[in-house]
Amino acid sequence: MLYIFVGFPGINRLAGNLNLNAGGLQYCVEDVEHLGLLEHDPAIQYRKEGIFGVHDSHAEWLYPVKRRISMMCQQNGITWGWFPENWAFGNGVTIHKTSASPEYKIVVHGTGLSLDQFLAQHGTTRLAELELERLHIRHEGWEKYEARWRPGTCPQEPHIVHLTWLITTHVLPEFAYQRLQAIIEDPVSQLKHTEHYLDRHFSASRKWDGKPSVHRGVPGGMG
Amino acid sequence: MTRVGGNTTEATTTSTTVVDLLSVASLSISAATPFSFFEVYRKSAGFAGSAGFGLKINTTEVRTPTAANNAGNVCGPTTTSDRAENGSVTVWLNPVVTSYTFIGASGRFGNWDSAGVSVAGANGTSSTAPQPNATRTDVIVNAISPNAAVTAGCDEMHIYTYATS
Repeated sequence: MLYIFVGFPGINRLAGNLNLNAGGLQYCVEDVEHLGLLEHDPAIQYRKEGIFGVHDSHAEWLYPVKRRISMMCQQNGITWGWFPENWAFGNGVTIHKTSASPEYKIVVHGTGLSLDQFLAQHGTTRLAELELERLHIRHEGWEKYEARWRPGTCPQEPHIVHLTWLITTHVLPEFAYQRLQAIIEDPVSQLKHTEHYLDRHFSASRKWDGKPSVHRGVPGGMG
Repeated sequence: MTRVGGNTTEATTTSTTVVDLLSVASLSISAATPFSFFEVYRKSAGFAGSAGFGLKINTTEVRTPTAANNAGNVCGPTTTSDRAENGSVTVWLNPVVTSYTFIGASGRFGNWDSAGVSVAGANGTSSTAPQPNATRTDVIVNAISPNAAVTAGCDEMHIYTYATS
């Protein structure tokens, strides 16, 4: 059974805090709070298209995916359609990260032309007569990405989507699901029995400066 | 969802089969435009086996990560020693044009153990499939852990396109 939540454990705490990583969340579920058993079989891979039996480079479709996507995930606009074709969920626990940024260009208002293109077409022009605007380039990549979201929910600024998913061997009882949801999505939930955790179960969070992950042009010295 | 000023963290997994771990979406890099990216990766101690990091472009697995052949993992190889390791990688993707369609990815990486000693640093030019001959809209690092006791992680992917004129 595949469970998908938005965010990661501790996303809403102060930056610099240590939060459970995938290994830590797995330890929490299986060893500390005994919420359920996770799928670890190296022959089982969950994909968008179904559950596959894998061996070396061979894969065989076994069953359709049973899934539960959290309400908060859906409220954010992330449904099953958010995951593209051939998406791999693997097994065990994963804290996934996708970043996306709209791209802009400066154009002469009303024309869609850059200043350079405008001058090439119109010749010498008084700058005082021009009005410039910042235009969102809705290129193929952006259109494709935006279509993954529920209509009207795709953020229109640089952003990161953090998702946490777990694959269990059986359906979780409701109390275990609610507890899991609290650990991942509830900003005020606390871990129990913290003395059982080791340093390797945690990762540090940090503040994101909003810089996009794609840059038109190579870093200094590589061009 | 993280917006400017919000919190972020590394992408991690305990999956023993291939999983899509870290991704940059909403790109529009034409097939004929070369680009490269940087990324850091790690594995925790817990089991004697190597974690592997591969590459997907759009929906095509250009390099399938493997826990068996660490040298072929274009986005990050680790050794089979039961210890924490981390490393960094630069990957280049060349243009795909007519008659030159079997173009994979080339990586160069350094790998360090938990004591800060370099344990592997080499060129990795291994791809299991060519890039799609289409606009590159998604770059995805996929990963595999050798055992559920090992956490594999990666972060800080930055993509740079090269000018072609």
